[in-house]
Amino acid sequence: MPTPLNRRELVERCLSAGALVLAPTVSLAAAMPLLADEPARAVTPPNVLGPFYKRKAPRTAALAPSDVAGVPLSVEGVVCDTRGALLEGALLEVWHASSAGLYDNDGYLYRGEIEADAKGAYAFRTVLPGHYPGRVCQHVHYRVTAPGHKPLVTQLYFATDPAFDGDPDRNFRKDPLITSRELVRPVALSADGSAVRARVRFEVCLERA
Amino acid sequence: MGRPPDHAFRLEGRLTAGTSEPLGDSLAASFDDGTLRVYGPGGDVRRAWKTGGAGFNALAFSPEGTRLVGGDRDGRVVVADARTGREIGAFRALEGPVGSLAVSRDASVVASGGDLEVRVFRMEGGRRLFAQSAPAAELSTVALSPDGGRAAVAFTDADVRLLDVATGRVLRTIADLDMAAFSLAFSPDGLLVVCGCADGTVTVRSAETGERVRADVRHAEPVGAVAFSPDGSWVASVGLSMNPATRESAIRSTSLAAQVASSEPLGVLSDVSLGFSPGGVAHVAAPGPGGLLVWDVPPVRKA
Repeated sequence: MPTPLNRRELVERCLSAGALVLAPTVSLAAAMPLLADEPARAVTPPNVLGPFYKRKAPRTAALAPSDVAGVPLSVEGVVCDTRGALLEGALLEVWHASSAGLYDNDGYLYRGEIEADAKGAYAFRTVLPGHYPGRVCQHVHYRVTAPGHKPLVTQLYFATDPAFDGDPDRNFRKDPLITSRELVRPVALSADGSAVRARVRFEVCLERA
Repeated sequence: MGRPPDHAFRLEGRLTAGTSEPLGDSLAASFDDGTLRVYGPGGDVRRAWKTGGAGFNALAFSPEGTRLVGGDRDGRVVVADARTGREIGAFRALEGPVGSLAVSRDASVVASGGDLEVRVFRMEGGRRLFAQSAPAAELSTVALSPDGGRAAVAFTDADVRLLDVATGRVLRTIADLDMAAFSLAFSPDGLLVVCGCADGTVTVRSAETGERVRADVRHAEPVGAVAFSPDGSWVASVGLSMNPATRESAIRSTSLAAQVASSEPLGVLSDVSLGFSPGGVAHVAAPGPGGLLVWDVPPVRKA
């Protein structure tokens, strides 16, 4: 199935094919600002905040000590806006349940605040979250803010989640809270000696305020 | 091990929602065959009636127990006379399931909460007074002052908003909680509001200014229910067992006038409701194996 064109792509193709002719008094340069607001990238789909958001998480990229139970997980990505601008200083609050499916509500285990660097990049280390009653899939919560942009609340899911039966394309709706396949990210698994490690890339795109 | 319940009784059917009378000892339970039963704390059925449908999703008594309001999965809210079961009014409050409910003393104001927002109605004619939502958070719970003049609305972003019901204006936002309030209650005089939070904090605030009126107390678990005693002199709060392997629910009793508090473990409870008899004995109700478990907890004693 062909990918739908966005407005900018449609206009550009029409212009190049001669299917759209600008009035002689209107130059292409003058017309392009009209297209400049067209998003180059889609905003990351939002997802629910959930009941276990906790303010004042520590500023750390290590959400858990290295000796906690679970499959070590590294998450990295960039924060950008819909025009592709990388958002230095964007603040990511992330939190998730332990590998046993429990949130630390007393303290801040599996919770952290990360600031995107000069290239808009962020990374954190933790363990793969577990399943728990009431939620179908493993997930990491995100709350992302950046000056001049609308806050984004979303969740990261894992394509390797057993709940997807190996086919997240077909089965991502098994968790009624997953409203977009885009939030289910591929997981690179690697063996480090006898231990398995997981690595995920998740880019976050914010909308300008 | 927690203290054994004072009462345990079987329920006739599959429970869809339950609630405790705030200032009485009745318990109301809705079942999936559409039956609503009001029990005494020992399990005696005081009243029963059919409500139609597949039972309510949420239930709440008015502060003095004269009205019982139920909300169903389709967003319909029904107010009944709690003594007779006679339906007083019904209206469509939400497009989706009703998850939380509150009702004023005379049932003139009803607040119904869904996943994302709360809508507050005048009972007469089902006229909507206002709706309240948060930009990037879900609704956690809602409470109304006994006279229906104030609402407290908690969102999952940890804010609690205090609103004027007549205008829908936000009078104050309690923005210094670390985690969402799972339970809210106004004092009998409407001047105070207690917030029971996901991180175990119980904090008593002025309903006017949002300021703390006594030192917070802490549970080891998220706080599933809070209530003021009938004379407003103490607060009871019950934790939920989020980690059954290591934690038990406990009821804490906290005096407002003095730094007096007590705590008693009740076992592993994942859902609780809380009310008081007029004499000041707290009743904790929780679904248990095969039925309903009820604990009677006497007033906090002075040190």
